[in-house]
Amino acid sequence: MRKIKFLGMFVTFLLFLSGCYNYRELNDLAIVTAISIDYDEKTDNYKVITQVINPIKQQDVSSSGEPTFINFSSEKKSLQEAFRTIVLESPKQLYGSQMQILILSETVVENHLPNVIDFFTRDPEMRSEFKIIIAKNDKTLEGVLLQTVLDDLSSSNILDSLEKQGEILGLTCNLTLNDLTNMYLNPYLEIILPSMVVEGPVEEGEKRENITDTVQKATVKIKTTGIFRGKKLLGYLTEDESKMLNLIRGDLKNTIIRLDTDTGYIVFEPNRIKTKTEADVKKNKVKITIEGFSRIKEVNDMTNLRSVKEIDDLEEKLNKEIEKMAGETFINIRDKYKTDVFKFRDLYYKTDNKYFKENDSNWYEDVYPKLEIEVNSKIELYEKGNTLGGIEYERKN
Amino acid sequence: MNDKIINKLKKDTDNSSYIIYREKYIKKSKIDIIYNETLTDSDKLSDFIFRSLDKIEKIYNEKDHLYDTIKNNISNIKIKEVKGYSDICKYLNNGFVILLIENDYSLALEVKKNLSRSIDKPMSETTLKGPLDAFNENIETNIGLIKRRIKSNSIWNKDMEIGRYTKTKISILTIDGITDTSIRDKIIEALSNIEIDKLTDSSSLKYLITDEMKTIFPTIMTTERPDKVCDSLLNGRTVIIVDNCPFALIMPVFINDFFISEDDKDSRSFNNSLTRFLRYIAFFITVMTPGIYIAITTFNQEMLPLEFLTSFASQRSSVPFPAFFEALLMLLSFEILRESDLRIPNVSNSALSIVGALILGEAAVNAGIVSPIMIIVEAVTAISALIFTDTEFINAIKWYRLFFMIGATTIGMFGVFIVFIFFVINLCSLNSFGKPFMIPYAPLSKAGIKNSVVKFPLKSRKKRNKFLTDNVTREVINEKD
Repeated sequence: MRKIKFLGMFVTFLLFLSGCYNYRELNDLAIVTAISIDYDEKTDNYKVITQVINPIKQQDVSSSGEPTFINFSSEKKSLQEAFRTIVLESPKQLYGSQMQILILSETVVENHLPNVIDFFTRDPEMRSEFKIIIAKNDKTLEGVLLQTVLDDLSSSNILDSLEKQGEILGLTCNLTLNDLTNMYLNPYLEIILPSMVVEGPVEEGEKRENITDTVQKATVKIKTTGIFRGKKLLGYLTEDESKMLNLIRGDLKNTIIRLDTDTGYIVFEPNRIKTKTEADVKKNKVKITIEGFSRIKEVNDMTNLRSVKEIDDLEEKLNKEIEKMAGETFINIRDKYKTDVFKFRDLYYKTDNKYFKENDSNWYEDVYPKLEIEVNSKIELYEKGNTLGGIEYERKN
Repeated sequence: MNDKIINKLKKDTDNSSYIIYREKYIKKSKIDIIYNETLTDSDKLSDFIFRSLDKIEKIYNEKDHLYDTIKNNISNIKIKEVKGYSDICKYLNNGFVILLIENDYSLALEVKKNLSRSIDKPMSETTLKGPLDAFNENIETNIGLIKRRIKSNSIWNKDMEIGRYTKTKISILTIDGITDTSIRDKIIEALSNIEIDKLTDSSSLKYLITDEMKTIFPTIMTTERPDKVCDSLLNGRTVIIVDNCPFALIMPVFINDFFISEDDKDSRSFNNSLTRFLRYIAFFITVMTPGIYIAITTFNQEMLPLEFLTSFASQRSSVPFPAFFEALLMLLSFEILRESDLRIPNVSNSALSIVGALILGEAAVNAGIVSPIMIIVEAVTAISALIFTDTEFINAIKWYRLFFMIGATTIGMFGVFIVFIFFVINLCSLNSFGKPFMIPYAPLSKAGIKNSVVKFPLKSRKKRNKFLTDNVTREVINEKD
């Protein structure tokens, strides 16, 4: 009897503690894959565009001419109202767990970020793993409307592009809602977000011709990182700066670096990069150690890659270049934007809590402008490809 | 006196035409010969009884006692002295011929007709390698097949008769020094209290010695393979052979025994371990797949990758039924197909498979009754169930499959987990003749675990399962645990 009582209690607790559950058949779901949010300052309304999958058999897509996704837009005072009223158009209920990407306009990012974060974190059905990206202009908000070829869903297209560039190029960061919430709530962190633009006319891109032609009329393109101080968007970095910011933050794993030489250039592919940052709080100095390996990908130069000495030289040059670029990027961002997007403040806090608390109040006035960094790059060259020297060098020797 | 017996017998059997009464005189002494012609072999009767009686007449000296002379000289090996009317009836019904010689002196001589089929191949437990003989309906043949394999005095049998009318002989086999005799005592105690009309097969005996309502899982295994019986005996299990039934009962059995096939002996431990692992996976697939599918598609859609979800959604879009009903429909139609496949004669099998394949596959999808993914789910479930040879085990799995589906439709994945907890509790609380059903996993048996999901090499499995026997050191290296 005691056993039965215990089991009964166990099951009842399971029911209540397991969170929300809700019976719905797949047929009743409108699976949302992307949402873009804009704010109309004149009418004080949120403008949302929601991309919903059209569950149609893949083999029927070409024959029936039905689109693979549908977009609903709506405009209301609050986000919840805006999303709920979509049901007036859509016969199915919006289902957000599978959302892949959230596109925010600059206005929303600057003025209404807390509301957006609250809306998406409060809903238990929402996964916090979707990526967030800034639309650099108004037209870009409609990037989810574009017809795309390689991936049927334009949202997957944006997401995959964002994730792939992180793996092989490291142009910009890719951040989930969790990261954004963390950056927003932590007083020692500043927000950074990736951005994107639509290249080409959106009106053309929405049409079916966009995917029947070999050259797409309009495409979404991932752009560099946008940096903030407080809630204010200060601007967007250049490509090199964006890359180096990633490197200093420790997010860069694999990238391409071009080294200009006297006779041409050599392109390196540093990979398996590990960045370690150490702070010396008393001396107001941050030590950055970069370790990794690198391949030579392209040689347009008279270098003799057969000699060990030349390769060692090249390795040293590459390390020097990285150290220089990182150092310059830090100085540039610090002096131009006066924002600490490198997580140094957080690092100081974590390294020496007591000392930091005493000096934190004047971080941006006293400490940060005088902060010195020492970059120490230890990238090893390990592969030069199938050809030995540069082609020109081989020809002459 | 003899006339009295004959008259009583005639009255009791309503003058049955099958019982033959003959008189024979040996030098003025009358002998009454009684036999049942349906049970006796007339060749044997004339060769060994009547011919030797003729010989006896020649050598018979009237000074001697006729009974002793016949007993000494008759050329039949199985001679029983019969005392009283009830003995006469018993032997008469067992294929003996009764010689009523003088007052109160009678003999019963065996002239049984061979009424059973010859030793055949196993029908339900076919294997690719290994012995190919199976039990038949004759208890003596069956025990002979076992004795042929275990040439030892230690194989002990305890015989009983069950059934007021059938008087079916059963034989409880144990190995002296290995088997835990408490199981035999339990069975004898259970059976001695039972008064029933008939026992025509071993299957009904199963439920006479266990509590049928206690569990849906089988706690006794049936087999028609003598080699399997011998393995079980030598590992300390008890075996019951029932006359007129080619299936022997093995007890106690544990969950792992349903995952072991006789073919495993042929496979080396490395290869076999993969097969065993697949069987365990198939077990969980067949129990849980429909439940998990329903839970994921009706409650926990966030668990699926987007590509899968889109694909599932597109397949479900034309189906009007809820997922549970869809699954139930498919399960039902498959079970009906399987049941009819078992019942109908072999000639219609191909017709049936065409109907089954068309209805369950193509047509149902085209008609929009079920989605293709549900057919895949159902097919995987059904195929996975077919790896088990024990039909009772499959039937038990069917119930739990349904429980998982119901749990999934009510509260999704949590329902599946709740049912799973009950499933494990149920399995762990089970016992087979006082031994936990989950041996060798819980409680852990080192010797048992060596022949479970992973099969260890034969030479390293030197000990018997300590839960089956106190005598754990194996004299004979043996396959099964």
